[in-house]
Amino acid sequence: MATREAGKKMIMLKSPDGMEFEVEEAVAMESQTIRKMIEDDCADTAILIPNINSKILSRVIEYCNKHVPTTGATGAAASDTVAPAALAEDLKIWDAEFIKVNRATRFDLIQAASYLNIKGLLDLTSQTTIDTISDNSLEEIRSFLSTKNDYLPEEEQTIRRENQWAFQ
Amino acid sequence: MSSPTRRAQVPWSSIPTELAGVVLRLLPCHADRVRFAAVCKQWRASARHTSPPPHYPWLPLPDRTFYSLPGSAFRPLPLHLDRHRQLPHAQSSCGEWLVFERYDGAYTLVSPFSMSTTILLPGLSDTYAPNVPLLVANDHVEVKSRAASIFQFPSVR
Repeated sequence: MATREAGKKMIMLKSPDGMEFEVEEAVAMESQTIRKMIEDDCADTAILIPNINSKILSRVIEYCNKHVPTTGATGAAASDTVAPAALAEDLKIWDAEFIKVNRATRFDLIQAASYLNIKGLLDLTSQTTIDTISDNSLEEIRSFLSTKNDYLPEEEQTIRRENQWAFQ
Repeated sequence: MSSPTRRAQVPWSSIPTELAGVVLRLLPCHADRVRFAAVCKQWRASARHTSPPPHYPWLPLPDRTFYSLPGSAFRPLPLHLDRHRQLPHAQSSCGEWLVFERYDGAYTLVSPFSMSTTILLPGLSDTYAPNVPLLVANDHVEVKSRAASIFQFPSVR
């Protein structure tokens, strides 16, 4: 495992399209999936992250970098001067900006969050999806999520009849 | 653990079933959950395998409608209560069960999602005291009578 920057342990993450990302172990371990690999000693040189391309992986790392609990000299200084509530508020604003992405990217992010098991990112991406679904008609939901209606007309009719009140 | 496949423009319907379940569990409103399950076959399957937490309570109104509460959005739920000889207002709700007083003084539990599901509470008309209110607790319905008999029903989801 590569080591640099005053003894901070570094981990190499590789995307299937050949890009390599060197990140601090603490940042990588925001992902429970990677944490398990590291703890099980399966992360000798580099960890290949299947299914997640470099564009999405770099966004995920950006998220983990922001959300990793601050430790060490700079981190301690930051939490000494800023109240925890203000930090949390900052993160919320940052999250809101972070998730302002197109549907395709959000789709990739939610899958990456699920695969890498990053709870905060999964909550964020899921919540954004819920905001899309909440109080919208079935047609609107399908349109927002570019979801194809794969029911036969008769099947759809039956579903709507079963719970007519929810589709009015 | 899911193993998502990377494709160019993937429709949301192709997200893994368990991931759709994560989204479903976060929807607090029953109406939203019903629509979620109707989006496509994959999500319908997901909804069948997910046990989300209890949804928001409903607000029964005197004009025979009920409002499903997703935040501030109100949606009338027309129910056909005449068929079951219910008085036009529900006394209490518990999960998806509504407690009704019938015209003959008996009480029934009705699930508005399936009008065939009506449970007649046993023997209440013998012991019911009009001045004793029905109490609804979080996880069970308690119907207290003058004779101090207490019926408890587990919450059904």
